[in-house]
Amino acid sequence: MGSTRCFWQASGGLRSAGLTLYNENSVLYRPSALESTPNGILRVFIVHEGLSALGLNDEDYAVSLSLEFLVRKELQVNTTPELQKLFRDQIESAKYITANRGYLADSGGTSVGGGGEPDPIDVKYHLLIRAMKHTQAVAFAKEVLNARIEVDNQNTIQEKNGYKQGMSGNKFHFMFRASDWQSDDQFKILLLNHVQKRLEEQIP
Amino acid sequence: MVFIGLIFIPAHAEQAQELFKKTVATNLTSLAALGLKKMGSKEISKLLRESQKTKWVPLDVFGKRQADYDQQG
Repeated sequence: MGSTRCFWQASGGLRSAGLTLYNENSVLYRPSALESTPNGILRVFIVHEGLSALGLNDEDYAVSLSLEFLVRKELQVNTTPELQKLFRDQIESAKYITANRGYLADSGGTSVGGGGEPDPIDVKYHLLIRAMKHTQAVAFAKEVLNARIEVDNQNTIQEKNGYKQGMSGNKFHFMFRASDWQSDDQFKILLLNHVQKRLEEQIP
Repeated sequence: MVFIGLIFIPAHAEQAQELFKKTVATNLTSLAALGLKKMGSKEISKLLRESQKTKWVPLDVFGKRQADYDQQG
């Protein structure tokens, strides 16, 4: 937990790797934050940023991850027709961004945008692989896709170089939007343990 | 466990932008091939065209663009 990173304040939370300006069809990215990102995760990150820049709401990576799991042959081994339907439904239900969520842009004015982060994508990616092998795969996968993972450094945000930024000890919050789980407690514990393990692996 | 290797983002901004645009285009093409009901080929074609206009702007570790330094002289 010793290293620190610089974050932007985006609409979906804090981001160190990518910031999307979807009213300008632009993506600001920080190559140094993506240097050692594995292929699959980097691909989801790029697709997430690209779709977001076009105005599609993919704040929790449900669309970009669903697409990855639908089209990658190596991930289709455990993809049942029910899971395929779930992934397709996630893409079909994607909405275009209309809400006027602002942040302080480089020029000093308020712009509209979101952002992406490879670590939460990594956690979700591997959780989905685990979930796909479970008897309640569809329920678990749905919860993982719609879960929110956020960086916990709200107290350190300050304006710097025209963006709201924060420094962090890289503590992640793993938050689910659903107030209660549809799945069994045993698997919930397994998922949360896996989250912890993935975070420990990811964070030096 | 799925093995995933490492790739590197080109240091040159234009090359990196081409890589990003190609990745998005490839995935949008795959999306079209899925034959979804609500997100039709017409909409995906529009996204595909627009995605080629997306600007991918690299920032350094301090959150600055090269243009920011150029302006400072």
